Amino acid sequence: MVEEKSLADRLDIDYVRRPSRLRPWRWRVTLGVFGLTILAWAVGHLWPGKRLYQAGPVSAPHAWFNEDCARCHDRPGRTGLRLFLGDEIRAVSDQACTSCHQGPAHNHKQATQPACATCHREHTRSTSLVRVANEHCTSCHRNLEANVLSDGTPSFHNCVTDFAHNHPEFGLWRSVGVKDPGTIRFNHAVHLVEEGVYTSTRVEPGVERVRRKLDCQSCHERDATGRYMQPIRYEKHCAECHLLSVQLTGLPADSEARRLGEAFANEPAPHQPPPVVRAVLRDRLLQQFAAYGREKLGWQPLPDDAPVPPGQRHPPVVSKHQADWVHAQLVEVERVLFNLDGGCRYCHAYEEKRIEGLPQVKAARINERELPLVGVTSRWLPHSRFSHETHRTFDCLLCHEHTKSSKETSDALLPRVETCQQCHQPAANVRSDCVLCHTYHPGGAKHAYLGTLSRVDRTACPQAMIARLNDSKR
Amino acid sequence: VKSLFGARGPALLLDSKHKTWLVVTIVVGGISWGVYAVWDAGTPGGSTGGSRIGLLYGLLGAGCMVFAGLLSALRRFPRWGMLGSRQWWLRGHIWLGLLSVLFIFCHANYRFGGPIEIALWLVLALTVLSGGFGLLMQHVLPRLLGTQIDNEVPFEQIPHVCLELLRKSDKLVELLCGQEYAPTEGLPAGKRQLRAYYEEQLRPALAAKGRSADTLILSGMNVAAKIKQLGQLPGLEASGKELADLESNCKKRRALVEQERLHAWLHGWLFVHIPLSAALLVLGMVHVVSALYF
Repeated sequence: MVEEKSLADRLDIDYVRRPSRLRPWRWRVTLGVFGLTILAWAVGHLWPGKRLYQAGPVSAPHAWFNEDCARCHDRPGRTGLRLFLGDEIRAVSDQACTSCHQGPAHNHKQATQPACATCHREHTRSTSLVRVANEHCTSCHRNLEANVLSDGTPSFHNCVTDFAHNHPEFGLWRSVGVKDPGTIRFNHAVHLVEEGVYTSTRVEPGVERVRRKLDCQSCHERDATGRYMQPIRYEKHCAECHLLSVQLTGLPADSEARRLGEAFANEPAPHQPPPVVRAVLRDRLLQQFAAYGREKLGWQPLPDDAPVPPGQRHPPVVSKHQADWVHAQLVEVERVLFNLDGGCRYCHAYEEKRIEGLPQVKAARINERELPLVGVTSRWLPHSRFSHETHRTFDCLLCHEHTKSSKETSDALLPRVETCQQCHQPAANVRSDCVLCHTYHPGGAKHAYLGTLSRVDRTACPQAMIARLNDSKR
Repeated sequence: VKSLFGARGPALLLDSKHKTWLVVTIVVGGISWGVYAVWDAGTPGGSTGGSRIGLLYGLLGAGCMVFAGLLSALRRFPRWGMLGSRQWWLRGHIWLGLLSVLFIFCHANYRFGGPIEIALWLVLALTVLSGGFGLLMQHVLPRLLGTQIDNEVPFEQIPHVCLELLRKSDKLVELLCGQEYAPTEGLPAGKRQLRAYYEEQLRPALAAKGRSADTLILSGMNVAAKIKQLGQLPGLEASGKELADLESNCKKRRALVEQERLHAWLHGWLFVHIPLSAALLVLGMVHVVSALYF
């Protein structure tokens, strides 16, 4: 119980006039913290570097001028205006970006052209400035018809919001009857048989030729970027098995003629247009059989002052006898090479019209793709990009699944979208964002080297860049 | 727990008068968060603090903080009372202060940001947490003071009362054992021992400042046992009342130590809350100026 009387006795009634015991100390501590905070800010402000004010570090390519905020922030003080005028007000103008970067327009039918900084956001700790969020793309592509110019009709699928769920089938497969326009007769199934294909090599005469098991990499090689496959070349990929050798017939029965005939047969004809093949073989016949012809076939060399035949500018280099013999051999050789199924026609198709008796080989169109709305391109999926290098650990047949059963050149052996979607989806924790495959700005001419950065502030450089700079100096 | 909150529960600081504030805070907070979440989801790449809605939420958050900070100003300028009672401002301080965290959370797009912003987040979090802790203390301790401290005195009176208790105790011992420093030869054994016990143990504890008093020496069991023992010694058989008064003084001094301890918890959080609010003000200004400039 409170003893009221004793309390009244002992109370100091003047205590209200004295300052509070705690309040002065509270003020001192508050003022101290206030001052310390200002001091900390002042030290941070004067400290080299502007990172104090950055919501996140600038991306690596821009780290060179990290200290020079005004290089990008060329319209300072405008941020607050966004509250009243909208998010279009920016402290970084497009000109600040385009002074170094090209950034051509996305599409001529595009209704609105966003500012650079709308998609490319700095200071976000993102690994890449070009790795923009899907929503930047789908804000238009979820309803493309509403986002093209009034007189434009969208050339692409009207609604795409997400790769994993509603990305349309690749244009290649959406168009009916798209075929590989290549004219080379090629059968993947035959080339990929388990027991391998015959090569032109024999261990010894009369024995079956050596077999070699082919896989995709035997012919398809990645280009320097690792993204796409280089075109198939006869000399590199076909010649080992498909030699253009031809045997001479009707030669004299002596051993020297047989030896020369074998030498001719062992040297394949060039993989060139028929007129070139004809010329090369004619020269080869003349040279290889010159000595034999003079000795056994009675070929006489022409005198140096042989008369120029009418209508020609130079004197003949071979006699008529010699020319007739070579011509007779060439007729048979050309018949085998150009007309029989085992010759050029084994792979090539001919035009209907012949010139000077020689077939015209149709253009191979090996690296050509013909797509509706696109025309002729070098790639099946020209609106996207792909890296074979990134996918090198996978079996090719995982994506190009019908290759082993393909018998026609016209078979387009590209995967369908669901093949990609099996892996590229958030559930599998594999990237499926738009910019993984698509680029917004069309490729084109690059800026010339500007060379405006005259000084490198090393305090701003990431260590890796400094190391690279030092390496280049060494 | 019963001793803390009483049989019918605690005397609530957060009483029914806070119901309106609670409901308004929940409704406004829920709607604000919902609006922001929808807006953010519809913004490619997510919203930022510098976007239109980000700035709006930053402004709202800053407004709530300024309102919360005005509570301190209101105490300095009582004339502002016409703008609302202290209780009304205190409720606003609590609930709008909490709401400001949500606004700032949205303003920052759930991110920490750069060094200034991280510091801001840290200071804001500590300010709110210290405020929450203070609220809890203000909620519980006044009740505890009422139940645990018998002779509660105004906080500012404690030093004076302590001196008074010391003076009274000195007088009692002087009455029983003679003046201080006077020779004790010839005194009965009880008085000699009382003088020694008082001067060596009780007086230093009674004279100690504030909470530094040795509560173990002043503990009821120790003092009662000793004084009972002394009371049976020659010379003190008839001094029961004076010894009881001395024991009572020790008990009161001990209660004052306890009261000061509780007061330290009751008001000590302000030593964190208010200075952090000042730091928040400085960092907030730096953030606003730098963010709006760039």
